[in-house]
Amino acid sequence: MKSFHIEFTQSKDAPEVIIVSVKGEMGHGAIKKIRQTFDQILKGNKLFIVVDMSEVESVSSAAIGELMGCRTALIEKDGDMVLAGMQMDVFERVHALDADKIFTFYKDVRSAVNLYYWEYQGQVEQIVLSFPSELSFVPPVRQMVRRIAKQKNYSNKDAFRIETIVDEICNNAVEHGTQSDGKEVEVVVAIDRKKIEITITNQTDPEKIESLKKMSEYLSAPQTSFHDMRGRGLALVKMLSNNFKIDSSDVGTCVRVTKLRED
Amino acid sequence: MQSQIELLYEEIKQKPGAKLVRFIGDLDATNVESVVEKIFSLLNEGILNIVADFEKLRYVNSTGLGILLHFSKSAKEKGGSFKIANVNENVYEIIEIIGATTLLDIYDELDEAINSL
Repeated sequence: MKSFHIEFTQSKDAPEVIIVSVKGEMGHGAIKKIRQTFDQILKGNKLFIVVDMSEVESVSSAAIGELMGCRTALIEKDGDMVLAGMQMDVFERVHALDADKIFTFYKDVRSAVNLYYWEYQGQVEQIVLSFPSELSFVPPVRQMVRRIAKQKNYSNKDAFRIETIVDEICNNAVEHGTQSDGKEVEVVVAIDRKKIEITITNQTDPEKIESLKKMSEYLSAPQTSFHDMRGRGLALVKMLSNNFKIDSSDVGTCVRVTKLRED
Repeated sequence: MQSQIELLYEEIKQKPGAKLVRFIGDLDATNVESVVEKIFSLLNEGILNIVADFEKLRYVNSTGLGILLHFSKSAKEKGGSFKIANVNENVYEIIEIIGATTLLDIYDELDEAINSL
């Protein structure tokens, strides 16, 4: 039987984050030490804690309960606590106690610290994609943007809506853009914890300028018949997004959409 | 490269002239033509009542939705019906936003759709 050990240090990558390392068996005897350690951290006004559980060999329900209490205290102060590096058998125990519905888990401390930057420091990630102006390239692009949203903890529903937005705009970009001479459609995705901004630009086919004007008119007052096969895509984007802007010129069209994270 | 869509056909017992079609995959601008071809070949063969099972239809966009409305309208014009069942939450939301829930015959359960024939 290994004895319980707990200590904390400041993260080298993010000084605002405290790494609590726990080792051995988290039984009833660990509760007092956990409480003392967290009290000490809270006194130092540090509110974001990563508990490194990679060397924990077993965990009792009482110890998990104590961690839940510590997390609640942090959340009341707008902080948070996440768990990292848990071994599979320990995770199974935590899962059996339903505590996996309360805590967020990360494979290691580094991933958890990255979360801190993402969730609490308003970090924005930008991805730029470009593809030949052909319909067949749209599905992999829209699916990639959905996966990015999922990876960034957006819900399935939000990720699906984002996929739809990208799909509809890209389809229009291809349909109304130049499809020859290796012309490309560019998709820029800027995503943070609260919103995703999507900018899609094509190179306009001069022969399609008239249809673009009609599309802009349609968007200012949609009147499409429900049995009309066409013209619903951008109206759908408007409904799914929080901000929608379309700028057309002789050289190209740029559609900018902002979608707030909802769930 | 097309999105993957597969249509599986099944007879519906005691409902001659009807067919169950299971949609599997994504329905979008890259594959609507092949789906139109398949459904219209059923209608042209005299299969005028179609029940579409959407349990495994992951995704549909406005182009895909357009052809669903087209199927519904064409089947009705021929004296039949195009009914949809088991729509997932995300796909249903798209149908709802477009305002097509009242134009399509949508059922929660497959049995309900079949029994309504």
